Amino acid sequence: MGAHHHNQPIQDNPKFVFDNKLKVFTIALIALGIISLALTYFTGSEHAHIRFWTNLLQNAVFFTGIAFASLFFVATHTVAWGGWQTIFKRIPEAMMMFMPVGIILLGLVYAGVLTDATGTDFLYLWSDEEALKNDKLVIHKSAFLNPMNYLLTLVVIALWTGFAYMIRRLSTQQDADRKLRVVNYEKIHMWSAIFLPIAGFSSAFAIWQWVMSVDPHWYSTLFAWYATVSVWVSAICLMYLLILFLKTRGHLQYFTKEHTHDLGKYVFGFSVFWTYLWFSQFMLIWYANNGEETQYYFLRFEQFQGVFYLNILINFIIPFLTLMMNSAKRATGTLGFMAGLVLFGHWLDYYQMIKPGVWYNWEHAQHEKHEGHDKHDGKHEEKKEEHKEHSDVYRLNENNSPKAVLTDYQGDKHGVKDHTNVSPDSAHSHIDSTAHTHTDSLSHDNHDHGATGHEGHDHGDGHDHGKEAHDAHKDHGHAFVMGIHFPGLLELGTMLGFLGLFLFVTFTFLSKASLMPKNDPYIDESKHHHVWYDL
Amino acid sequence: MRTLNKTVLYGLYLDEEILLDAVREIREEGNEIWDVFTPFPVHGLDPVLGLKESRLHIAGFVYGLFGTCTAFGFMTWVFTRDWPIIFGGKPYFSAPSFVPITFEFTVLMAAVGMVITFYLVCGLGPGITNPYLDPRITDDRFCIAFDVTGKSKDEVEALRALLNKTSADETNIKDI
Repeated sequence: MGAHHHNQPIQDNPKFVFDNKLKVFTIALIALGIISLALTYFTGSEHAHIRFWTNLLQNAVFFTGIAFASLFFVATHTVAWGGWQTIFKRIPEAMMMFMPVGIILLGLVYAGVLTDATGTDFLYLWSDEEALKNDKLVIHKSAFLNPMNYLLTLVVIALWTGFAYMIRRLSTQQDADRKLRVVNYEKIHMWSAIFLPIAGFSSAFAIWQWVMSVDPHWYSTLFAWYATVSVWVSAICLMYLLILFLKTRGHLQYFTKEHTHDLGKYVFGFSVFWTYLWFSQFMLIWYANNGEETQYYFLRFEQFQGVFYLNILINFIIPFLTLMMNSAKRATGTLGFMAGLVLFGHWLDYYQMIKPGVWYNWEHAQHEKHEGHDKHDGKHEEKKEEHKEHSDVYRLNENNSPKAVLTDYQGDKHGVKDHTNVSPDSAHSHIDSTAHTHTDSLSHDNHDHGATGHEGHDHGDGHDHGKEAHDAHKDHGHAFVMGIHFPGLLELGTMLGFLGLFLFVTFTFLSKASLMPKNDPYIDESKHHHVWYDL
Repeated sequence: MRTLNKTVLYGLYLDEEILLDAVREIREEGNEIWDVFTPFPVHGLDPVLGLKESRLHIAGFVYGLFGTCTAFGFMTWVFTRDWPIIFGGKPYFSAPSFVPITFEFTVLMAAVGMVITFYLVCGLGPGITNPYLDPRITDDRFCIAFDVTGKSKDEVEALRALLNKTSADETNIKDI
């Protein structure tokens, strides 16, 4: 029915040519990216090149993640005996071939960590020798967060790449030989089924190290889900944009509103699912109000509000309200625009996962340097000793559990504001307050920005104390740094550069095989796919 | 049992594709179909029958919005005005903790509201028994029905011929 009812022969060109015009366009984008990255590097010495390293890491992870999600797309739909996606399955099959490039890109980050390049100490605190000596948590977690395990994440991508090559080859072989129609489909089915559980665990292993470990004092058990759904939605959005592009060139003419509708449902549904995970992670941390957990949101509320709220606006509120209607999911223009917006939104999501943590590592290091400079007399020593004493008391009380170590660490970390207000002899009250300092200032901040309410009303002097801490904090001052607190032009240039690289690889592989997998057992089901009818 | 005081001529078809073609042909010849009954939702039947898009989902959105406002407003009133309680060291108005209940209540209101609306519109409900044409319509037959109340024998026979022409498996007349 639907579009094909009138029995007009469909003119579909299954041969995609990666012509010179497209090559020049993608290479120009890559050049733009290289220039942007180079500029961020050469202008970034003031902040130890963290802008460069975070941009490299963010884009490498984001686009490798999209390639991973494309393979995941092929695998899940094959395992579920899905048929509707068959006419455009060559697109995810080409997108997933970006993974070997991902090994090189993340290999660059790894090389930076290994050679101890300027800035990588702040990118990954666990690679900082100072932190490995003094930072209890980094020491505690060094069994997992170390260069050897980081190298293993590259092996993980290599493993995914192996699956990608295998599945793609089995699929393209079908084109030439109709006898492989069922045999190869069953093989793809088997390899997909093997890949999925491996993908589930290994993606978590990788994302913890690539992204979550930039905040090595923090952890969230929901993080891997949240970060993976982010690239999954992005992959679907990019897939749809590529389909629209290929349709304008006379390809994929069997792709109808019915397929658009299904992809629209994915964008809508997984945007909501992403929000569900985002909010679950936020609410549990907000509710428990443990210093070692709230530091993650504290930082974002205090210095990164722009990115933080834009993230929710683009990735939830706008797609939720727009794509709620059936007709919006089927409208090429609306879904195309939403796909572009959500793709950018999740790039921004990765931005706000990475930048604040690295900025914090850098800023904290500056504080320490500063403090060390100020107190080169006996007082400093005294203070240090006092510190030690506190930690011992605290740890004795808590039976030396890892959590006590965590809390103690937080006291140290944000105590900077606190110490100035507490006299050295009131040791006991000091210990009490260190545990709360963090949340108090968080509450005060919330009050200012009307985010989520203000915690800490139960501890009698909590509010006043928070105010003092905040004022003290203000003296230090948080200057807005372009490219750190909000993406600047160089960030956008870098993103376009990586997008160009991604498209270059995708187009190369698209041109290597027929866009129409004509011997796939599900091809006819996909050509005549219909779920709804236009009135 | 409720009665509709109608005389209905109906034809039973064996497959939904045959039914869709039949409905299309009958309507193209300018005949008014009273109703079509199928054992399951047939994709594409609504536009072929010339039915407008259902407004049920708009009602659903309104019910959902009502649920959102009610839940969030009620919790805000309770925890800030009526009976302020500090729990977990949070302020009285702590929006994040209202979100799960607001979400649940939105879904509940939208779902229950739509079911009730659907029942009212279709005249269904506990204790109401509606007349039926043929029990097999709930199993494996697809039915096209004409309202032939007060129509002449010739007119009825013309419609019956049309049903047979469009491959109806059998045709019957029934007073309901």
